[in-house]
Amino acid sequence: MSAPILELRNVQTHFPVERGILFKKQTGTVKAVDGVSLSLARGEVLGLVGESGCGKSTLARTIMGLLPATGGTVWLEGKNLTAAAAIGEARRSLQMVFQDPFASLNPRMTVADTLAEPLRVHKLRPAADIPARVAELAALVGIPARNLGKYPHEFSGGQRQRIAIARALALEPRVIVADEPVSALDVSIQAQILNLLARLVRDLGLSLIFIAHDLSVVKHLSDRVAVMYLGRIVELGTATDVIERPQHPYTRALVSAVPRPDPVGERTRQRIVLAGDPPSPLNPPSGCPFHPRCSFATEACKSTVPTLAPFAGREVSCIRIAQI
Amino acid sequence: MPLLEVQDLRTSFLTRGTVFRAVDGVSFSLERGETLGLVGESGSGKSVTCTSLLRLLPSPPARIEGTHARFDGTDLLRATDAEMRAIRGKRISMIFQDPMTSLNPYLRISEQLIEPLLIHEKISRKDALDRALAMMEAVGINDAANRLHSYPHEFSGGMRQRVMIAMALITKPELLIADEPTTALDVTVQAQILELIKKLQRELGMAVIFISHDLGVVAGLCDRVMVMYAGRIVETARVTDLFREPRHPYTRALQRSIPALQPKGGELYTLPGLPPDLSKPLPGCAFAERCEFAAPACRTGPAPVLAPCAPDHAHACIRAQAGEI
Repeated sequence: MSAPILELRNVQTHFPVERGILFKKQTGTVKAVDGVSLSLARGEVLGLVGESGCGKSTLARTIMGLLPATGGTVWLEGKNLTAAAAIGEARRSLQMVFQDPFASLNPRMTVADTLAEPLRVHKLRPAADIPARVAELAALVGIPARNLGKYPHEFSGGQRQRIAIARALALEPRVIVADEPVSALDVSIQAQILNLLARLVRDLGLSLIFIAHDLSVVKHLSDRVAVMYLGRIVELGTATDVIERPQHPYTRALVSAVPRPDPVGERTRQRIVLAGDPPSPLNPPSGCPFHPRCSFATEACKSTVPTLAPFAGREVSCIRIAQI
Repeated sequence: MPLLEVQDLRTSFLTRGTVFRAVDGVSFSLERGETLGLVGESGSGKSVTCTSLLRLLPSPPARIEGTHARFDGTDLLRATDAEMRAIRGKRISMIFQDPMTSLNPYLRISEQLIEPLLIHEKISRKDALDRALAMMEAVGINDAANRLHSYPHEFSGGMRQRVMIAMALITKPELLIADEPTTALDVTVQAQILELIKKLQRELGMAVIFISHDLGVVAGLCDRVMVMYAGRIVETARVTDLFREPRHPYTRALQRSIPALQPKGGELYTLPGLPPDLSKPLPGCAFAERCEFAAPACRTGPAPVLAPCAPDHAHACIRAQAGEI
């Protein structure tokens, strides 16, 4: 495999928790992302899954430079994005699609304006060529050219998500980070957007970080999957391995919790139901962050912080993995 | 006699001189203890069907009509307001989709939990609080005695949904309407809530109408499923039959668009076009415009009616009924 297009080395995003209005005092730290290392190959789709609050979206925003990394580095094609000087130039190669297409488009801009704005800002082409590029982008995502003068409220959720994807493609990025791009959509519309993303990755040679909480969607689209829990990656491997043969106790529970559209199987299947809610990242458990909800936890799990290590063809972060 | 029998329910909204037919002739019945799934896309009329039955829609703009909707002998469409108040929250309860917005942020959980008891039963405040505490424990809230007097903001999403369930079940209703109760929750918490609903249903013997757009959730929970499209029921069957042998082209299309049922990486089936505009007349089958099997006969005449094709299995596709597809 050639050099990765995007590489994360021990990325941390911590938020200070402050008390007081005038005399602010830091009383704690939320470790939303706590030491994540990942690499993304050219043309690869990497799925990122986990419960709400596990740091998926914070990680996405840190990669994008929308949130400052408090530690570690993000490398895009050999440029260090966490060094301030590199950002403006590199950001063209890195674009984001957000979850809610009702909130991520400016209601006062027509589709044509929305798609033209990045081209104007980055002065990539002469002004006279912009309308042609806008039409090309709209065609790429299946928005008819006659609709370019319309405003976002005139479109359905699926069409708005297409516009948001076209906007992300305007600057010919190499990497797209999509944060739950289909969660707000109905099943039949979701299928359209998934097909579109798969086609764009194939035809344009894009790399994609695809964040979702729906494991069947992630498995369908991704080459590899990373499972996050409380700011760390607990399992990383090919999509088929991780979702069909999960190893980490948390991944096992997560996969087992997904309802399957199979009435007979659903009634006979033994489900692992996790007790309680995910712990607060403000006050994470000692040792392995999953140990309070893990049925295999021992005394050692309360004190030893596990790291990702190769196991069964993927990487797993669990000290007892060989025994369970 | 079924617990609930709905005949030709029609709900329309009159806005700016336009009539939107959100529910367009829905008929079904529900036995005691049965779990009925109601599936369909946003705007298909799932929620409006249920809120119409409970008469929770302001009128105007809503206009609710129908032959009847008998709940244990009482016609919900024609009951007086006082009769409705005695049923709503006591014999029929509802859980709403969003636990973040359906609790009153200014009231302690305890006050909100005992409110239905104080209204519907002759019970002292102390006994009501005891029942509330027992219910909090039944829905699996740890340390219930201390958390009973908390405010909603002190609870996580999953805990709030448990409180909503406790509130709906505290009066031991005969019918629970659950409107996408797990859509806003994580899968691990969703699994907890679904197990809880199943367990409490077994214990209380209540009937459940479960609204969802997630066919996976419906597969595990429901006995029978109704598929809605554009305000009409297009197919109804026992859950196993619906997944094994879907007959209506819309149900088939829904199944083919779920990634979990398709080989990895393959092209997912997508429906062309958009759901119809419910303010315009819809001659024939509402799905015809998007249907790959539509024939000229599908686009004319009255709406096709549900016809049985097997025991407990009915659908509203004239071409499938004629054996052409």
